[in-house]
Amino acid sequence: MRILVIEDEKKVASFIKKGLEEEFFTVDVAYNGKDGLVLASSEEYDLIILDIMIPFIDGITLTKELRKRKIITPILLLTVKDSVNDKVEGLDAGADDYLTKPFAFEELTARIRALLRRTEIQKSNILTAADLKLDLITHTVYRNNKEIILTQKEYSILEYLLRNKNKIVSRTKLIEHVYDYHFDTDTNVIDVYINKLRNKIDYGFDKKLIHTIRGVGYIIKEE
Amino acid sequence: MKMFSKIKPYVLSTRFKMTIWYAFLFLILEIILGFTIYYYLYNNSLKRLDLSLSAQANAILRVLKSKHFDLETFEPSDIYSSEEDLIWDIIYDVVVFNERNTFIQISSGKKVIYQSANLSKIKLEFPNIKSNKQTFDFVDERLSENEIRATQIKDGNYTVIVAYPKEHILQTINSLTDIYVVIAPIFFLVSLIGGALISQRSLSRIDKIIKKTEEITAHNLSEIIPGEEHNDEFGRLVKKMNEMIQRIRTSVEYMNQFSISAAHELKTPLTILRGEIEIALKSEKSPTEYIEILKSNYEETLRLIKIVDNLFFISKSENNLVKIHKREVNLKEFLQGIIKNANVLADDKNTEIKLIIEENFSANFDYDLIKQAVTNLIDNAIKYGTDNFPIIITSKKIYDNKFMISVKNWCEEISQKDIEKIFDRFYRIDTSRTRSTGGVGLGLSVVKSIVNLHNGTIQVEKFPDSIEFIIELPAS
Repeated sequence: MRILVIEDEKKVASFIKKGLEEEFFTVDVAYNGKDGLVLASSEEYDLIILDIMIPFIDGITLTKELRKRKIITPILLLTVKDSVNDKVEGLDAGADDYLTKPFAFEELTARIRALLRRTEIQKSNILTAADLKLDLITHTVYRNNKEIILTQKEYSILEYLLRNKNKIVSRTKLIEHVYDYHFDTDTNVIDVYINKLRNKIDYGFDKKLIHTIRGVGYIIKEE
Repeated sequence: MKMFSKIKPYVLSTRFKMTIWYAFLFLILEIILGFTIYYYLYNNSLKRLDLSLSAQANAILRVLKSKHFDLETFEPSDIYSSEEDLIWDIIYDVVVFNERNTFIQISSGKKVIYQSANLSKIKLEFPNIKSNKQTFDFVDERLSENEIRATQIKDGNYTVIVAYPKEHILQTINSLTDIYVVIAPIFFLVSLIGGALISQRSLSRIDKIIKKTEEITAHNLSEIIPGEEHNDEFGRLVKKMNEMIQRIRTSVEYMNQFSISAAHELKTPLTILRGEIEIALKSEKSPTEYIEILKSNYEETLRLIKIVDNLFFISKSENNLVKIHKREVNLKEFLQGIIKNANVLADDKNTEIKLIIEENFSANFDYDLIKQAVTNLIDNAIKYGTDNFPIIITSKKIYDNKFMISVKNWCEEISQKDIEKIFDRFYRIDTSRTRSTGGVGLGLSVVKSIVNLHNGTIQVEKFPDSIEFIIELPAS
């Protein structure tokens, strides 16, 4: 899952990025409203964490602008002000949630999970396909109750495929949601990771879960 | 008891006190008036009585002297037995028309030669009387219950005493007193009611003021107490109270702004500290990473200390708790010292700090405070100035009693709106500059506080490509 953090305080942006990466998220950072707008409009993100007090374009205006541009990515506002007015203003502008600084990192990740759940019809923190289970909190994967150890990238790809279960996911989409924008687009990398995943998940099982749709992408199907 | 607690507010009210004072004063005036009238009437009547008594006595004496009877031999018991009886009757009836029933006694030497019948043979004797004419009071229960007023006139051998009880006078005065005793309480009562009504009328506006004042709290300070339009004491009171509310509102807003801004300013380093520590504890890190985190935590701790120090300083200086210790300082050495320290930061941005002092001089000021102020200005110039451009410090004497220090740096143009707010606490030209410079919005506020403590001034000159801060201070 790919997240954009727009925060002018470099150290805050830095620890959020570091922390989220430990949680297997892919994180891009913008230090002001202008850069944030460019990234949010040109790249595809699963979530935007947005500070309200940022240079050039403030968070509220930026939220309005993104919604105007039909970018419906969930937005989590960060604010130092905790008056009701600010929260109402932020939510009314089109943000989905807010968090008051200084926040507990655990709360930030919990809210991120909740926001990501909203986009799918998923109310649990465990993604499943047949006897495959992926725990979003502990980042552990089981097939037939046996734990499978995955690397961060493998996990991210599997998570994205599972979130879009029964839907075809293109290689480009996978790159967009698994890599930050510094990554040079080369879809071959995805094929390599899919192969590794297949070896770990489907190898030795009768029922194959990851299917290739020639010329389009990949799909996880239960039947 | 319950009854009292009910009327207690009224008893304690100014309205009640005013009424009581008013009625009390009225009562005193009433009493004074009563006594004045009483004494005036009493003395006046007594005087008139005295006049009529002495007139009667004189008239008798005139008759006595005009007739040359041998009164030495006259016996009162002989009334109507001699030829003179008729004359005495004439005296009695005609000259002394004794309609008031006056007591009359005429003596010749020690011998009483005539007594009016109403004396019933009681002899009036006043042995210690020396002058020819004397008026006095005496009491003789046989004659009257009241005091008797007497006038005695001596002429030659004759002594005439004319006396009259004070009854009449007292009767008049007593009836007056009777009327007064009835009327005075009525007047007193009327004054009480009248006083209560008048004070009720004039003080009802106070109640309105009280009611409105009770409603005003820290949350609705924008409301005003009505009644300012009256040009009287209450009008003025309301006006002054409204002015006070306005002043309180300004300081409350200021304090609210201050605490919000202070909290805001403190929250950034706290967010960083909390976040970094939580991430550090989340999973095991390499020693290098831990050192990095600790270094960053240390920086943020220093930042917190600086914010708290600045807040404390501003708050102290606004409450006049900062003492300044002036001493003579050589400006060139002073500024060179500051620039030497600042160069460490300036070198990072390839900025040169130039000092222009055409004529060296000394001035009296608090070395540490002014050093802090100039350092803050230079720090700002380094942080916000355009890289690779110099910062220019100028200092010179203005007339004999003042001197100036200015700090100029190149930068993007700053709007007039931002210039006006530049000395406000926590103000940072946020929307156009990034906070990653680590600036604390308190720097310029501290400078302003220090300059104010020295009775100096600080101004900002804005140019399209640069900005200059000019401090002017008294030289001694």
